[in-house]
Amino acid sequence: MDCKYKEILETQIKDYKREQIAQSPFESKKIDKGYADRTLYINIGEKKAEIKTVSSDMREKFTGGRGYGMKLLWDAVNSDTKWNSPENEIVIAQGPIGGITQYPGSGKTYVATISPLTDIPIDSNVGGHFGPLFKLCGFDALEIQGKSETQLVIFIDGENGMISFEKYLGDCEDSHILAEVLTDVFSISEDDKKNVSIISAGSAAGNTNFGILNFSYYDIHRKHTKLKQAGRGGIGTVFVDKNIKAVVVRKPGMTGDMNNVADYDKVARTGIRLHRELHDNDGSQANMRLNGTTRLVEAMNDYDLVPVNNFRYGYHPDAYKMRQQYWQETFTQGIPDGCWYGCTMQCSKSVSNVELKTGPYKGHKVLIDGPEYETAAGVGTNCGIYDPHAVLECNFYCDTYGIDTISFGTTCAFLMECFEENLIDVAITGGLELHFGNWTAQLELLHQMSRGEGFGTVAGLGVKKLKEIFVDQYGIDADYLNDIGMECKGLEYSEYVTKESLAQQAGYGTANKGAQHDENWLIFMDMVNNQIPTFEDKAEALYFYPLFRTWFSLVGLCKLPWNDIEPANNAETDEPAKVPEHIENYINLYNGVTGANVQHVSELVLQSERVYNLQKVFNLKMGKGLRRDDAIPYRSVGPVTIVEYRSRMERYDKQLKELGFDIKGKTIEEKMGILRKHRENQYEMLLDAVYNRRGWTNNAVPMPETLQRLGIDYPEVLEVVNKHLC
Amino acid sequence: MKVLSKNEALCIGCKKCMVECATTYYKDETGDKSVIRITESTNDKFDINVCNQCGYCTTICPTQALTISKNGVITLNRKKCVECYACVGFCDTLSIHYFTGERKPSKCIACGKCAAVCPTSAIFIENLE
Repeated sequence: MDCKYKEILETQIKDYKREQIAQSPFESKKIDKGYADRTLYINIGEKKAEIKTVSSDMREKFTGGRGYGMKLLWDAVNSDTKWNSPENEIVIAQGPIGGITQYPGSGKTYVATISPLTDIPIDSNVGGHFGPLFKLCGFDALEIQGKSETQLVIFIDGENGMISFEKYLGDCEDSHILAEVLTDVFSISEDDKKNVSIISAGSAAGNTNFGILNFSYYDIHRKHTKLKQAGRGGIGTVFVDKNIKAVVVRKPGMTGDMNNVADYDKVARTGIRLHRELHDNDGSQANMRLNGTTRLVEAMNDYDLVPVNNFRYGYHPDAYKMRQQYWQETFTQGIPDGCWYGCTMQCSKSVSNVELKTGPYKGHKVLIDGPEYETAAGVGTNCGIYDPHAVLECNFYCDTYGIDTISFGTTCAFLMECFEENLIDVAITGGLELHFGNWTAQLELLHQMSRGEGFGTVAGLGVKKLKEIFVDQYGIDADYLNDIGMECKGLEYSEYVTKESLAQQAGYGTANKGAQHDENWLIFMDMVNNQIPTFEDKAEALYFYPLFRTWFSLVGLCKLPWNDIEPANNAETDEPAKVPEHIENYINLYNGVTGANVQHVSELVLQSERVYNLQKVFNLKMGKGLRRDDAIPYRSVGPVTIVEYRSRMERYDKQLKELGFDIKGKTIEEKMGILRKHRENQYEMLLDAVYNRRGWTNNAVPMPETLQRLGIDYPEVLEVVNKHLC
Repeated sequence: MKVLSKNEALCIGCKKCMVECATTYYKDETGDKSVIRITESTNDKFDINVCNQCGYCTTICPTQALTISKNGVITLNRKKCVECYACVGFCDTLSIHYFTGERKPSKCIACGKCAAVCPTSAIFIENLE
C-alpha cells in the first residue's frame, strides 16, 4: 500500500471517534426460501427504526429487489414530492435469489429513489457485499426516509441486533478513504472485515445532481476495501442531501445457504453448470475474466458504435489505444475478482498502484476499481480522450468523489461540443478550455465538483438543466441544444451510438428511468444481425427484453452472466438471442430458491411486467411518463451536423436511394432534412407499435385492462392512469 | 509434493478405490461419493480421474478456503468455504466434486487409503519434487 495513503488511513483510524445519538434494537430473523418477509424502515429525522411485515400481496405482485423498491417508494411519496423532500426515500433491496453463492452474479442489490436528474423514480443496480449482509440480518429491503440535522453514520449491527445512529465526527470526504476507515473501525479483526460493508457517497455527490452510492466489500486477497457503484440517477445526491455520511452493516456468519433455499441440490448444480461453461468458453467468447467489460471499447469501435465526440461518430482509430489487450495487461490478474462470492465471471477488475497526476491525491499510488466499458467510453472516447491513464484517473476520482462516470462523461462531452462550436467560451467555463481531448480540463471540472466551486457545480446539474441555462442565460439555440444534448427524461445517455439501430433508439427512449441501456440492448439484433426487421419484430423485442432484463433486478441477479457467456451450442438453438439454456438456469434457480413451480419464462416475464407497469404509472404520478417524455435527441437518431453526415455520406446516400428518394443534385443540408424527416417518422411509428404491444395507449399510458390483467389495478394506480384517459 | 499418482494401464476397473474413499469420508459404500473416479474407456481400459494437486483451485477460491499445505496437498478449510463451487466448475481435470447431500466440495487429499486397497498398484502415493 502506498505510504502516503497508508499514513492518511492510519491517522483517520486512530483519530476516529464514535458518538451514539440513538439506537434501536431488532431481532434477527432467518431467511426462508429467499425471503425474510419483513423490511426495515429507518427515519433519520426522528432517529427511529421500525420493522414492517411484507404482505402476501406485495410479495406476489412485486417479487423483491427493484419491485420492492418501487412499491415502498410509491407508498412513501406523493405526486408533489421532490428529490430533496424529506419524504423521499432511498430503498435498498436484493430479492429472493440475492445472496446465494452458487450462481455467478447473485450478489446484486437494487436501489431506488426519486432522482434529482429526472424527478421520477430511478433504479440502479450495484454489487458489493452490503445487500447480502443486510439481507442476512433478516430483511428484504431497507427504507431510509427523512433528513438529519446531524451528519450521520447509521450502523446496522447484525450480530447484536442493534441499529445505531451515530454522529459523524471524522473528516474523510471521499469514499476510497472513508470506506477503508469505517471497515476498520466497525470490524473487530482483520478476519472480520469481510463481514462489514459500507455505503458512502463522496465529496462531489452533494455538489452535483449525479452523485452515486459506493457499496464496499473487503477484498481479502488484496487486503483492500473495494467499491462498487449504484451509479445512475443521482442517488448519492439524495444520500448527501439527507445528511448521511455512511450506512454500515456488519453481519458475521455468512454461509453458502443463508437463503435457506427450497432445493439446495438444484441451485448447486445449476451454478456448477455455469461455472463450467465459463471455464470452457469465456476465453473464446467475451473474455470477461481477464478484461471485464473493457473489451467492448474495441468491439464497439469495430462496429461504429462507440461514442466519439459527444456521440457524433461511432469510431476513432485512437480508440484502439484502449483495446482489450491493453486492459488485460494492465489489470491485476490471478485474483478472484467477483463482487460477490462465487461470481466466476469476475468482471470486477482492478488496477493497482496507479500514481495520480492531479487533484488532492496527486502523487498517491492507488487501487482503481475498473474501468468498465461505460467509463472508458464515457469519460474517454466520447470526450475525445484516448489516454488510458487519463481514463483511469478520471475513473478513480469519479468513484471516490461519488460521481456517476456515465452522466459525467456524457455531460462533459456535451460541454466540449458546445465549447468547440463556440456556443460557450472560457468566460462561461471559468477559464476551462473544454476542447475534446483535453483531459486535464476534464479532471479540473471534476475537482471543481468535489470542491463545490466554479463551472464544475454548473456542469454537475446535468445536460437537461445545462440546456435550460444555456438557452435562458446565453440565448443559445434551444433546438440545436436539444439535438446534441444527450439525455432523455433528464438522464444522460449511456455510451452507445444508436443512429443505425431504430430498436435501440426506442430502447433508450421508452426506458422507464431514462436513457440507460440496462433495459434494452438490441443493437446487434437489430443493426448487425437484422433479426428484428419489421416494426412488429422490434416491438416484440421491446416488449420481451426490457421485461426479461427487469427480472434480474427483481430477484438480485446480475444481467451479465445471462448473455456475456453462452453455451457452446447456443447458436444452434431456436432463439439464440435469448440464450435458452440460461433461461432454463434462471427458472431452476427461482424454483430452487423459492420452492415455486415456474415452468416457462413467460411466468418470469409476468413478474417483471407488474413492476415495470407500476414504475411506468409511477412516472405518470410524478408528472412524466407520457409519449412526449419518450422524445429523444436527434443526435441519437441521425446526423445533426454536416460533418457527421459527411463522415458517413456513402451510408446515408445509399439509404436515401434505397428508400426511393431522389437525391441527385441535393445539397447535404437537403439530404439531411430528408433523412431526418424519415427517421423521426420511423421512430414515431415504432413507438406506436411498442405502446400497442405493451398494452398502453398511443400516449404511452397503461390501459386499465392491462393493469387489471397484471393484478396491479389498485385504486391509487387507476386514479393516476384515469387522469390521462379521455 | 505429495500426490496420488496413477498408472491407468494397470487399472482393472474393480472400483475398490472408490468404495474405500467414499466409505472413509462419507460412510457411502456405493462409491458414489468418491473423489477418485474410475470410468471405462475403450478396449477394456479404464480412466482414473483424481486431483493432481496442481493448485489452480487455490487461485479460483474467493475466500481462500483452498490452500496448499506444507506437504503440497491442496486442502479445504470447511469453515471458510462458502459453497460457491467455483472450484468444482473450474478444476481443469474435473477432480473436485459436489455430492448431493454434502454441502462442501470434496477433493483428494492424497491420504492413500484408496492406494492401499488397489489390487494392481494402479494408484499410488508419490512425493514429487
